[in-house]
Amino acid sequence: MYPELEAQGERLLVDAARVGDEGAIATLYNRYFPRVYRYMLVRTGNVGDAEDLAEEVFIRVLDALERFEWRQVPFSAWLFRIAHNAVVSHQRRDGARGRFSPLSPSLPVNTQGPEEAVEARLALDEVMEATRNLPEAQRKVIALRFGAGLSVAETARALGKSGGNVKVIQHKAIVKLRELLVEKKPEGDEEKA
Amino acid sequence: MKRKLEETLEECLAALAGGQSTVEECLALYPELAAELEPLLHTACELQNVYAADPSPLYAQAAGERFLTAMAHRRQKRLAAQPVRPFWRWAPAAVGSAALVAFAVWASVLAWGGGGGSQEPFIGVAKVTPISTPVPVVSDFQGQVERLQANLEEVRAGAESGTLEPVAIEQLKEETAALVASLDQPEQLGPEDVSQIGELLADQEEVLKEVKERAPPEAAEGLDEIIEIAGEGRAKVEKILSPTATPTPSATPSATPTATPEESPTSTATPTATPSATETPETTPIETPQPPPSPTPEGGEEPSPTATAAP
Repeated sequence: MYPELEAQGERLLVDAARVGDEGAIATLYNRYFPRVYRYMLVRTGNVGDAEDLAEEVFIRVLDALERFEWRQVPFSAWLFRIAHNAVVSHQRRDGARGRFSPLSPSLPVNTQGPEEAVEARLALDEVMEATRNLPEAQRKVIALRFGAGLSVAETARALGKSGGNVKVIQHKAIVKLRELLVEKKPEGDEEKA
Repeated sequence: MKRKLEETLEECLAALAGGQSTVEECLALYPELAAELEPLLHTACELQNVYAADPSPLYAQAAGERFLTAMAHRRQKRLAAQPVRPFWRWAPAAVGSAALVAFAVWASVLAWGGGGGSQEPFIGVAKVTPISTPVPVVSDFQGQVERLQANLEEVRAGAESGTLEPVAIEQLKEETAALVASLDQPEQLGPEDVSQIGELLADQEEVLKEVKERAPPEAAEGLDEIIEIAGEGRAKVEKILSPTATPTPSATPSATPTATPEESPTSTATPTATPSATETPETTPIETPQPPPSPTPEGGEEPSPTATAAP
């Protein structure tokens, strides 16, 4: 479904990174940085925080990588646990939960024309705001599934839940998001949402 | 029913994300759930599109550079933290290797000689063979001497402070007896060692006589025994050293035959000390195993700089 990691070869890559192969570490960074960034964007709803936290996560990964062990936990689950902990620390540190700042105008959205870009940015704003109103557990699942692009199994491992539980939470989150987004939209646009 | 909806929603999301089907195709697959699924799938598609936002290229580049800097900084820190291997880490291995090589050479020399080969080769190598045997004797002797001195000092200090314990006397007695017993095999000791034992035992006798005056009466018996053992040892020392006096007159010119008998005891030390077959081993093992401190650990473990794969 979502961009799945190539399972084949990732283990070799991670093992090389663990023993200090800087090429392997750089490859992992390239592969995961955008996904961690998106996850942070969903969790914090703030571009500046997302940028800071995404960097912080990879610094933590650098320090912890050699202690990573394959215990039936994929690397992605381990990485997003670090990301989750970084968000929690950030929220404790700044009391930042619920804080919201408009998305940066420089935030690139994958669109072509300027009109589409504006529309996309508005849509992102709306979705971000709606996501912020979700319960914590649902927000985490949405961040991992739609932001980080993890599979249900990876999300389950990252959150320490069962796959069935993740599917239930995902369903509830999408239902709730739909309600929130429909409330915001003009009557004529409801069908689109 | 609800359970099925959650499962079906996940199946449809997987199919949509993989580009395998559209919303309409999914709905066609599950007509009984289409009414519930449709709005959810539309919302999910919107989420997917919205969250596909990438970080800005400028920020991504700057973040990548910062990450590389952090990685390089940690590499430097790791390398700096690696301790230089101290002497005692590589010296035993070096000594062991040297001993192994020496043994192998020695064995090959023996095999060569015993096998009826040429008797000429390995002249230089033949020097190596006597190294191995006397070393423990010499080192053990020095250890014995040091222990004896330490025990004697303990007894003396104990007597002065009034805290002399029987255990210390017993220990000194054992050490003295062991040192005196080593005189039974004088061929394993050099003449200087024998002289040193003689001096040490003489000092010990003096010290113990003083100690005896201050020590409690119950310690007197033990101290007497030690003095007696030391006396026996001194007698052995004199006995060992005395036979060497006889050859010395032959070394002196025949023109002065009358003067030699009186001088002989003092002059014996020099000729007997010079050959000193036992002295050479003291130095050789220390000199041989000194390899240059190899820089291989640092060089070998340094991670390859792969900055070209920079994010």
